[in-house]
Amino acid sequence: MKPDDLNSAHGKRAMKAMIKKKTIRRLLLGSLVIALPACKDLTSPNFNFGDVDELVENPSRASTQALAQGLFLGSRLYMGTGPNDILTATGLMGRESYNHDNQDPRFESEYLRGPLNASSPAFGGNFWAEQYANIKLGQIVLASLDVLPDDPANGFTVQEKEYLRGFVKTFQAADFLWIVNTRDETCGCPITIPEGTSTVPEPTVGKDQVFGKIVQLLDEAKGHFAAAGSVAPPIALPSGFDGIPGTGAGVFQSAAGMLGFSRGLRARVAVYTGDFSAALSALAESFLDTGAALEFGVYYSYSPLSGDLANGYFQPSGDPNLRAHPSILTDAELQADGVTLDDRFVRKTRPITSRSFQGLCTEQSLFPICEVGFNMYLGQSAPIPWIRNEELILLRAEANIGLGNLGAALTDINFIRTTSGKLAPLASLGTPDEALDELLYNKRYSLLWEGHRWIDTRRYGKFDTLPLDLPGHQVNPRYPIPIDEQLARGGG
Amino acid sequence: MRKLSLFTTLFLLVCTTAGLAQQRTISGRVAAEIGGEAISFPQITIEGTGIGTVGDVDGSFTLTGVPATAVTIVIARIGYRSATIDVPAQQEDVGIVQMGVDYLNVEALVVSGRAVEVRKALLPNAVGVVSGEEINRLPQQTVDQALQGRVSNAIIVRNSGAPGGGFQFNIRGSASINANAEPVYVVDGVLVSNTSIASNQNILTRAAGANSPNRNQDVLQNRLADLNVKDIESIEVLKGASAAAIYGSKASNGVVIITTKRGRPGATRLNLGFQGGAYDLSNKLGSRLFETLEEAQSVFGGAENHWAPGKVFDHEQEVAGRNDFSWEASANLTGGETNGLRYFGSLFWRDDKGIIENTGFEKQSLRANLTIPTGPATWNINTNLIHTDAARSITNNGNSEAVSHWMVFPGTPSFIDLRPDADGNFPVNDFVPGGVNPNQTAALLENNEDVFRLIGSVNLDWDIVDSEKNTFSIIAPFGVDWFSQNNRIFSPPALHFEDFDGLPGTVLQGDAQNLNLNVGANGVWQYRMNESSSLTTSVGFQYDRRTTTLHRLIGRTLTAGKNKPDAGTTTAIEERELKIEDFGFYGQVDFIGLDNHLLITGMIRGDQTSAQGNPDKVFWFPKGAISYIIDGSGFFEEVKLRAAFGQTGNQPLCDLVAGCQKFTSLLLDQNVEQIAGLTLENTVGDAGLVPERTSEYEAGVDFTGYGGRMTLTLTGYYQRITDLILNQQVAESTGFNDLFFNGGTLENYGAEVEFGATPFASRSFTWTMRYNFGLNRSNLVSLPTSNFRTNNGFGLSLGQGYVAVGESITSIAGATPACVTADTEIPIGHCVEAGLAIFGDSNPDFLFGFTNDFTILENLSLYTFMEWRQGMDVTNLTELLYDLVGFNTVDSPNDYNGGNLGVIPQTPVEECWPDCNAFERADGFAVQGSALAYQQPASFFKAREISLRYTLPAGMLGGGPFRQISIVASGRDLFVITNYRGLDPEVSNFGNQPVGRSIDVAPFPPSRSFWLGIDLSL
Repeated sequence: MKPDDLNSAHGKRAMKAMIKKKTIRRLLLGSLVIALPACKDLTSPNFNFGDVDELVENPSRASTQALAQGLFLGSRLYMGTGPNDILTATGLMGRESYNHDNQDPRFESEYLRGPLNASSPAFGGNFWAEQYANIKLGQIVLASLDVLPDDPANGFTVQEKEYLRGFVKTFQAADFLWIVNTRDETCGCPITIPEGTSTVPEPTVGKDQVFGKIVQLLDEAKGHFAAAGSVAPPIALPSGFDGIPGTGAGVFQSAAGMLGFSRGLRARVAVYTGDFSAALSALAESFLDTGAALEFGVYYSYSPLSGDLANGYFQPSGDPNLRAHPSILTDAELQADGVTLDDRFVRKTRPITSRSFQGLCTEQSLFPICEVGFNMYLGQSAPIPWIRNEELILLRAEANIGLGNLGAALTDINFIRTTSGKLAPLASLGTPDEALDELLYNKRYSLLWEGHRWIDTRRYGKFDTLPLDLPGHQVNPRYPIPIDEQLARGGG
Repeated sequence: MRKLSLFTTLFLLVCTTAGLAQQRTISGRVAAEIGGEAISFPQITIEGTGIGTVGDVDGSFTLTGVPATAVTIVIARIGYRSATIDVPAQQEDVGIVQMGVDYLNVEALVVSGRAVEVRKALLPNAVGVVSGEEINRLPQQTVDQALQGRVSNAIIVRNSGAPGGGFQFNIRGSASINANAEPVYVVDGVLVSNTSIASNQNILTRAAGANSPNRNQDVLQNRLADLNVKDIESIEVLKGASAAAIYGSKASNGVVIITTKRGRPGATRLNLGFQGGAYDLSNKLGSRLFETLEEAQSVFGGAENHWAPGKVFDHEQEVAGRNDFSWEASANLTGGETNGLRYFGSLFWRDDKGIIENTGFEKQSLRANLTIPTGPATWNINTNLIHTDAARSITNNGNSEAVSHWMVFPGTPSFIDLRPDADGNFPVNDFVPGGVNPNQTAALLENNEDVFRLIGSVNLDWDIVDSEKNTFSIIAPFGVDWFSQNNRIFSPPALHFEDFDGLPGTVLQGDAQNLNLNVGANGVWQYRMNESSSLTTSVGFQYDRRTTTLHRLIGRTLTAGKNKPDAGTTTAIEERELKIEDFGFYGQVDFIGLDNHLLITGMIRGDQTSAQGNPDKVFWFPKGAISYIIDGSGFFEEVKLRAAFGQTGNQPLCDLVAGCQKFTSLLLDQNVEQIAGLTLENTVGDAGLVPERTSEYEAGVDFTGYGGRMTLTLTGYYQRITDLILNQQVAESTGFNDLFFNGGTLENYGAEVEFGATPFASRSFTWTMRYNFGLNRSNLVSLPTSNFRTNNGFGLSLGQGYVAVGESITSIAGATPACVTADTEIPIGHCVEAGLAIFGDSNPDFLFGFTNDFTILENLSLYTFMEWRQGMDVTNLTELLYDLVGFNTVDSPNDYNGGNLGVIPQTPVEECWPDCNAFERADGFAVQGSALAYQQPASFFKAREISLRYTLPAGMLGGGPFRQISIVASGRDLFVITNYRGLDPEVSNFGNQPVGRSIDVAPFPPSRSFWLGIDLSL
């Protein structure tokens, strides 16, 4: 219904007049003026984002630097973004930790009871898209390096390019490593990324070939870093590349430092694939140094500054959601005094409020006993280890056990036992099986809540050593391929 | 002012004198059929000519310049059925002409083009028409609320009970998956913004996680909430492409045309109204009662610190049990001269106090509408200044430590006392992380959305040529809709959960500015071939520009306890900008013939927008329609047959936060320790993206009978939507997650019935009923890709939107082991592939609205309005939280606790659904891996409005200043009949979106309201 019938055609006819032609002309002119702004170009820019076409098709030194530095952001997308992240996932499945988030039951139903659901993007479908997105970003940087001139004014010097190629390939290898670590035998995982903005997926390959790709990338990176020589890093690096974060030492920023990092990853991969002699030679090229601090290494960096990401595992409350599994307490060895627990337990955990919480702390509950909390990642800017000296030493021990060099392994294990755990040294590692158990004990406590135990126990078929809290619980052996990947490939 | 009216008078004199010589005069008086009161200012025209006049306040009129031959005069007056009288040659006095009340609005004029309108009786489409009178029987918070259930097939869903809305308005089903879902809103010719700009309460709830820019779980308001319902004269709802094609590439979801009140000629009239009332929590979930300490301890370790026999607290009531005084005061004045300046002005102040402390909705509105005739041109100038302030507290989904009230209740046992002590200190809630005490959160947390808005328009309507055969007018609207939205979130350090993350105290100041600018011009040429035939040709263009900017400042660690972002030791800024420009033009021809019995319309529109891939490309949208009236006899006076075809578009989306669907973007606002980096935004845009295209065929039959006191409208329609904008979830191993492209075909078809009748109309008893019924079915005909889950939702393990060929577009699917293969028969829904079933639909099977209006002895009237929606489903994740995390559901068996899960075997959830108890549901989800456990039917019947009005008899006014005094008692949402077990079957955690709705996670609870008021006219 129209409000005022006086305005309708009927009403208007009550008032009529002829208008002179002059007026009509004026009127038409008037409408033309009104119409003019409408004739303008309607193109509207992409206000809030960078334009892929522009940066990819016409790369510059600055844009390539920014994309390369974006790899730090991309590698952090699955590490430390929040309390449901890779350390939570591997911690839950490796029975290192609990998440008492009472707002999502899947921390119990998927991680502890299983199976992981491929169609839950934040749970069973996780740790896939971010890794591939970062590998893709690396692909763009590598492509830019190929087309940019060898001239630092418009592009990069040859040595700078080599540095960046080594840097990108090391990061790509690290992302592929998480893919194969989470999917393991489930792969079917692609190792090539389609060009440009194509969304047609590449063929998949098995676990062994994914490891092969990682080895190839890291070995290529080695060559690039060697060729880069002593060039100054053409990108800015965060404090995670200091050596000991926050010291400003910048140990890992140079090509040589990067090579040490890259070879450390290579050693980890070699151990994972059982190629122990390759592991030992990679370790020799890595930053392994029994004279350096065990914390010496490469870290993911965080800060609460605007645009940055605060460490999502920082939980100052006496009543945190992320809690340690009680077996960490019960399995810890005693120091020589027979009273004090393994110093790694002492350092890395703290007593917390036994939250009388939704039955989570009762005998029949989902999460029995809840008084052990973590004393780790203390602060918004706390770094998270990527790979550090203590792991490298244990990797050397592991490689030596694999090669049957129990004596060499004993030296390294005792070094870790005494330095890190303040435990009495062992006289012998015993049988090879016992040696492996001793190694895994040390990896468990040395690398607690750094994402290792689930993978280590799986590699040795030792899921049966992981405590199950309730009937119906199991250890998820591996992640499924996410539902969207399956659907896009015609499965599902 | 005086000059203008003098000019008008002179002009009229000139006109009338010119015709006097060879013609006669006709005079008479117009009065009501029942009661015989004079009908003021009737409008009298001679059919087929431009001759007409407007009568006086007492209904008397004198028509001059009438040809001496026999003529037919038509008398019209808003609110009455028009009267037609044949006046033989020579007759000069027609005596008293009686007009019947137009109970059912059959006389309405309805917009049929950008600049032309047509009598409803001839309209070729089923257009929903709602009068301002009908929606103002009781206080209305927002326009969307006022329209719920009143228009057939308009599915208006309230996303939660939060004061100030959000509502989703969906007409004839969902016409899109990824483009716009909302109709276009036009207020007095201005395209107004109904956008939703998130508050980013996510900084407290973390519902979307740290990295996702998506803030659609933030209990969004939509800005239609700003309008003052009391200013509305009428609302027309153009439902589909066949009616809305004139709005081109924006109109696939229909058009809602709102017309505000304008000045009525006559002495200045002042209307005053005051309503007082209160809101009341209308539904609670309850929580488990523990008979013994052992039972309490089996679920809540540490229960011994709080449990005592008979100690029970109703936490929901404590938080949401307020009944504070709410009120609404309104005043408007209207008046003016018949041929001179006419004015309407209104003042409005409303203060709704919500059921939760620190919630409510405040609105102030100031309006001035002027009609200024200057000779042949009429200027309509509308201005409206609005302020609204919605206080929302904190609800909806969250992660980490619980913050939202209904996220906390699942883990809070009924035996803990959370009330503040005598000093006002709130106890820590020992049973949830962060110790969140919802009573404390409600008392201390502020979450306000404060909006200032200015909507103004100038409409020039210029009759350039007005001869006996031809009229030519220029109609040029210019409109501005500007608003500034300020979001303030303040979570003071004193809140128990605030130091959980080591950053005690959080404050957010968000500032968004939005400007919609519309300019257009239309030329309308009407050629009258003879008395009853005319040809109207109109051409015109429109240019619309929408610009939005958004700035947010966030501060954490507020040691001083002040709500200043720069007082925080950890601060963050966010900034966004958006501009969309549209240009469109059209030509339309309307032919009326066969003695006003036939209407044929043809139209073509061209549109381009900056949001489409190539902004220079023009997309064409045609329309054709025909209607024909058959004169009936006996009961049916008129039968109208009508058919219409039309096409509209749905533009690719340009979102303030997510950006445009046509772009492939890099994120540039992130850094590591101030080392800036670019990362892929993960979405591949399509630089060639085109608008979705809806083609609609509509046909219907309209019956009018019983002296205009019965109308029946039957409509069927079929829509085919092509070039859907698809957001396919691609193989993430490509480095991307999403891909936008056009493709696929969707069909929506359905039927609508509108029935109105006034079976009784007398001084002692009048009964008017209006019933509307609508049903829609949707079917995805084809998809160029494989089936995919929709973007929103929590995954198929919990149930979410799923897009599959051969299914409804609003399907809810979920994982279930019962589907062994795609062909497995299951008791509920059907399997689409191994392990995946479609369980339900978020849109209803049908909607039914019932209005009954009784007037007894002229003074007492009872108005009731009910709505029934049947057949939609909701994914009730609030219940999942009570079941699985809290073991706290009211129907938990005594032996139920988490430890039993997987130990005591349960029957498949498919067998007990939908009446499974807490244990069976939990087992179904966690052990069997079936998402069915939490899919629930959500049909409902709601008593939307009941109002009882007593108007004082004229004799009681005692010659005082008042023309009318009435007293009104009313209630809204007084009762709901539903099987749904959640707080309210109208719910959407993800706010407004075309598909993947109806997910229930800790929403703001529903309320009913009671009002008592008085209306005065003088």
